[in-house]
Amino acid sequence: MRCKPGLRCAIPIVQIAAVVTLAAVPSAPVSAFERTETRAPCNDYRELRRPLFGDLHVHTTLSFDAWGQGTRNTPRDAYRFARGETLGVQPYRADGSPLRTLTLKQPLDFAMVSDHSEMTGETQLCRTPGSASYASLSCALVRRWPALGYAVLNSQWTKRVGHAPDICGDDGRLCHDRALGAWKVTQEAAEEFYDRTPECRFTTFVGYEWSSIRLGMNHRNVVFRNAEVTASPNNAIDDQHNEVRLWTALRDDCLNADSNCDVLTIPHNSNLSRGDMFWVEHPDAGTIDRELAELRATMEPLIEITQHKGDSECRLGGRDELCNFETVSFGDVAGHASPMHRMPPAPGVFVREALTEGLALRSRLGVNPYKLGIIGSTDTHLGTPGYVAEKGFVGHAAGSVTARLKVSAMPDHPVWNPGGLAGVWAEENSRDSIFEAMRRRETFGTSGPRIVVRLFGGWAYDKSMCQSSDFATIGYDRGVAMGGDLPDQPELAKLAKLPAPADAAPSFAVFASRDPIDGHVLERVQIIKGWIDANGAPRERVFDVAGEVNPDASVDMATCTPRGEGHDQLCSVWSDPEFDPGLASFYYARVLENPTCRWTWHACLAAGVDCDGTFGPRGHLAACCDEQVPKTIRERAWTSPIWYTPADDH
Amino acid sequence: MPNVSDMSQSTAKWLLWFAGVLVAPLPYLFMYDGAVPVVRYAFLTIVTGSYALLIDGSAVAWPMVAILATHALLYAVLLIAPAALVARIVAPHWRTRIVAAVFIVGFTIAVGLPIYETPADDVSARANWIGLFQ
Repeated sequence: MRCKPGLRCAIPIVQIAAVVTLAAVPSAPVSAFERTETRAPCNDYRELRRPLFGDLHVHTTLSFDAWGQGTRNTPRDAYRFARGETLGVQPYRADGSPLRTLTLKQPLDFAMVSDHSEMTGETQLCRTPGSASYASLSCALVRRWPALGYAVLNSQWTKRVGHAPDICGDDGRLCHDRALGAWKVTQEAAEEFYDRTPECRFTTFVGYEWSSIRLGMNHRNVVFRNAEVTASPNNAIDDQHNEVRLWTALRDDCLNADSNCDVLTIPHNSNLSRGDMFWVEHPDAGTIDRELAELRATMEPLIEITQHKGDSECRLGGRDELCNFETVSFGDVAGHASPMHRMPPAPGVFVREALTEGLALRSRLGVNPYKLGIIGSTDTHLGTPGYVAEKGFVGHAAGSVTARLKVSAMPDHPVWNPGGLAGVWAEENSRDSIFEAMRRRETFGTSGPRIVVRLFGGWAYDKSMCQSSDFATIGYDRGVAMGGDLPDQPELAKLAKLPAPADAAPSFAVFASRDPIDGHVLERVQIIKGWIDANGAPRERVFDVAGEVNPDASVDMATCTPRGEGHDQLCSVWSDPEFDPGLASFYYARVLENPTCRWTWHACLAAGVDCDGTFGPRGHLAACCDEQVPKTIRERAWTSPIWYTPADDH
Repeated sequence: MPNVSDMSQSTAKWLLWFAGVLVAPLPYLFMYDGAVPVVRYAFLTIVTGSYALLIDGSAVAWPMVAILATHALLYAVLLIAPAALVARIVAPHWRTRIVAAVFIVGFTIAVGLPIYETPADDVSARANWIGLFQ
């Protein structure tokens, strides 16, 4: 269905029903999740699952960098914001009232505060008058000159130096003890805001961010399934920046513990990892072998494909021109500020490259360590989960243009962006249901708008599926949802009680619908296929499978009003025309909106910038007239892949 | 005893240079925005250097010291040229008055107006000279 821009179009009930509501038709193709906690069952339970949106990457004042940038919002504040309440952000007036307030247009379904586990104790000691280290030189430096203190102290963990001795004591004990207090605050806030009633309005997760830097960013968020968590968070300082130590500790202390503890880790910013994120040779753990690959695959089923510090889907400069989306052109987080760090992204750091490398490793080791499902999140350092609006973006804090003391017309470095959201297909809005969706990778990421997308892969889908009211039922009955493996043809045919197709290619059923409240019309849906060819070379191909490029789709740059028609919904059943049953491959869907204004241009319009003036804008607003800074974007969503493995490789 | 209105060119140069070192807002070129005088860069160099010496110099403390010291030294050297130029073109009997005027006007503006930008600071994004050292 086409919809004129600017008009809120009703989404046909029949179509939605096909994908979401009628997903409740009982056909039992989906195994129910296991409940590991004591809580009321949700009134709204859909056996065939529904989409939920959340943000699993949120920093508050408990994080050293957020606090240093003036963030005062606590984990409780962050959850209040996620549920729809208005929240103040820095800068603050002398009386403590904020200069700016923010509110989500749509509350989130779930969120996790993921404060850095590094420097947590230091932060608490330095901010608390009368603490044992309050008067130390390090704390004085951080309080009086936060940016300088951040640069100096932050580097202690990123350069493998360890804790600041004048804050933490020679053995680090002071900081460890204080960090436990912050961990308790995090857990209590998550518990307080988790809706355990049958209403199931909001779900929280307990977690933290483990932030290692060897060469580049090697960060991941740790997500616990329920309230049974480890006694203390791991941190990169004590783990000596070795993620294998993190995984091993989580396996031993949580997964193998005699409890209901369950956990996974979600890496992010592989784009800035300088090769640290995806490796064959680890500087400490050695060459990847089957055991290490299994450990990684168990602990790390997802990746955060997009967030504030750029998009990690694919590399600029290849045949896929749509990789030119929030792609940071440099490969190190300091590159935005320092010319000497402005190196190109290292080889193999993008998600698509890792997915392909995973196929090669699977063929060699029998296990694919990079079998990664997809989510997005914000990485907000303001304590504002899900605040992804391009218009009115207030910056990110924690670096870039400081928001601590002043409101800037250009509130962040132009290379960054507001970040994205995580989507999951879950039976209900509860921890167990969402966590299992993440574990099986039935997830998707968006660059901000709440685009709903669903992908199934199988051998016996036909074109009529898009018109059927049983889209999801057929999807599960005759194939697998995103995040899964295409079963062998005969096995699936038997399961679906269908004749086994001979020499068939796999087909993929994809459905997408626009964000009806804060999004724009859809342009098209693509399937991205990756594989290793017979010569061992990585290959990729992008197929347009639904919708089309509308040459009239554009944006009125004077008002940011979108022009041209698009789609409210898109659906397609597509078969791979180049399928080679002998080659392992993966397929994921990418949904594109029509163009809309990027946050930078919204800021430029708000500031009344005139690029035709004699001198042009100065300072950060100079970015408004910089041809290198895009004025429009195509918001998008990505599904988790579906993998195909040749029968010989099983 | 020399006539106060006949200040030597060298004395005028160094006094003008000193005024520039004390009050001229000069941009910070690395990572954060800002514009502060040389004396402020020197002060932060001492603070960071103290940290590197007394607490820990193994991470980026020393590079930060180097960056701040480079700003201080670079601008201190660069300020010699305009100071020398002014001292040279001003007639000897005007030098005392010009130097005095530079000090008075410079400090009046520096103390009276928030001409500095100090995002590395916790006091205010915009600050006057006194605010820099509070």
